[in-house]
Amino acid sequence: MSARLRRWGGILGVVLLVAAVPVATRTRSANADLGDCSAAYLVDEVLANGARWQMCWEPKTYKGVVLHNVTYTPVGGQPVEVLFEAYLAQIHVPYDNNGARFHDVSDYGLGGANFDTLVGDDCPNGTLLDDGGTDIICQTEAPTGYAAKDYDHVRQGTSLNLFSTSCIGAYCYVVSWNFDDDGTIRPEVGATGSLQLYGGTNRTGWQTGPDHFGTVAVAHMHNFYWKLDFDVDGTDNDRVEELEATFTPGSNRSQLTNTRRQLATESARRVSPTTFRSWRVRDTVTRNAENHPISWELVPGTDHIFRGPERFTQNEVYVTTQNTCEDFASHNPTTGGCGAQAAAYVNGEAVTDPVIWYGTSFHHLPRDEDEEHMHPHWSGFSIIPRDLTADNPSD
Amino acid sequence: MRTPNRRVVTGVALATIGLTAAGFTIAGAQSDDSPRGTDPLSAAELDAAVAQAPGSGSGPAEAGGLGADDVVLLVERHDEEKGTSTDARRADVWVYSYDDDVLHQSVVDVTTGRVDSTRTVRNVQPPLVEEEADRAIEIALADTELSRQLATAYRQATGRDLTDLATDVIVEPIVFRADSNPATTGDARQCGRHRCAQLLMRSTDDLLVNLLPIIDLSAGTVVSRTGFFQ
Repeated sequence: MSARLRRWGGILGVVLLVAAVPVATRTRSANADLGDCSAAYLVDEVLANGARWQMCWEPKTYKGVVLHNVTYTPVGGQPVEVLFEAYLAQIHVPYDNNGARFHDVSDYGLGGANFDTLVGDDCPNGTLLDDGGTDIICQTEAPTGYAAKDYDHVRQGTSLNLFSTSCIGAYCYVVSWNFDDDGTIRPEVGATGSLQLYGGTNRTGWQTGPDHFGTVAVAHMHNFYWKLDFDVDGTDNDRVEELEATFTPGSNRSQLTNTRRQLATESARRVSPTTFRSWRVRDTVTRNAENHPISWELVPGTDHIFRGPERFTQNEVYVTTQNTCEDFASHNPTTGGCGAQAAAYVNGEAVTDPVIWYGTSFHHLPRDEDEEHMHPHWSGFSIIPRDLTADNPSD
Repeated sequence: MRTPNRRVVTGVALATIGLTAAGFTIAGAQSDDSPRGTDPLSAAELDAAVAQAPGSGSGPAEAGGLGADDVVLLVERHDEEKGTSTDARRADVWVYSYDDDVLHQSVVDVTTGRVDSTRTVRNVQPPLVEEEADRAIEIALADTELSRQLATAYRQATGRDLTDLATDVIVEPIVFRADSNPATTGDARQCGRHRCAQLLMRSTDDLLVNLLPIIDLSAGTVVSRTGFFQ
């Protein structure tokens, strides 16, 4: 196959369009950008149930792997763009004793020479993708268990997994993306390697000696932030809504009222586990066969919340309109008129091209088992289709 | 003291500017078919971009545009504004001038060789490149008191005496900015306006050397031997 491949338009033009399941009943908008990359930087995977994921990937020196034009085709449906661009936009690591507060993506970089070179042991049952001869991504289709279980109706699911690893100091981060056969995207980061900082007492850590001179490994946060530029069925006509359920007034906490609220201007929002808050990006024009607007919904995935002295840690979600120079959640180069961190990106603009910055936290209280080499501890969340198809496309 | 093998240079220092491919390793370099769209720049495109990089001198790099204290920090595909064509092959070229602690950010059309834009900014500190990492280590080793503390920390971590810095210790410098840590005191508060490195160290058998020294590369001094501010 020629390395100089066709544009995605060509690829998508030959996608089998069997209308077995009612899906978005529209023609693709003319301005949809279907990506442009050569075969070496294209991922195009048809999963076991027939669903398809396509995207371009690009290695960047600081950001690591950046995904472009992430497009999903449900079984028997038409291709729909979900994300114009997506990447891990910061790893903020403040230590409990304030001994260090790292900003690993902007200050060290996930890519370039900091990509770990992967070998076969890194990628059992998968395929290694290379950048100029260096293998930096593992691509695998992996089982996810039940896609559905309804008495004797049983369906098993699979997922396309892409990951790269970047080692920074003592830590190695596994930056992973799962693209499920039901249209769900599950970004994750695994933190492994070995502990970075020792000192102090159990007040700020955990006694893990005697291996390390009988002292204490310092506890710390891993605050991961992603930048997600949504293009649901193309750039145009996208809107962000916040979904929530609160106790119905006068119901003595016996009823819940579900609400959806448009975030028409840039907004800093907090996760709210007690009111089940989530955010969706919906297209205002494209509808599924039941005339419901198609959308993808960001569902938070953590019960740890960190709000430290840094402004960007005061909220977990920043809804902004796309700006090319808003690159990192913190330590952003303040050039091109952009702010230094995500909280500064919320400055009253109308959200015409939605970006969601999402942060999730993990407080790592070390334990003996972390020495010498740690098991990965994972942080992540989900982006699920909401009303993309009128029924479960895998049935 | 040695640096990990995987930390290959991601930018080029003045000494290698204009020498094109020699020792010039940037992830993303391709030598086969021409890249397109969002593909990373090829090795040839990277060379073309660096050759035009404006720094503190009076012209592009190949014409002597970089000053003696200029370091190329970044060369990679320029992210075009969304909605515009990605047909043009353009590069971001970032050059840091230690003379006056400014970063020159240029966009270079690698096809035409034209510099489309350049701006000069302060207080922007991208990650370190290898030349800077090596210099940070040199400055650290020249500090007698830091060497003594390093030997102590190494003994604490491993139970062994530090015999050969070059082979016993792996060091990975990371850029340090004072605003990363509100508790920062002393000369380290200059970091951000100045370009600084913090050294992450471990033994070759993966035991942490529990010091995080901070080096002011602009001033050429050690500004914190422990890196701890409590």
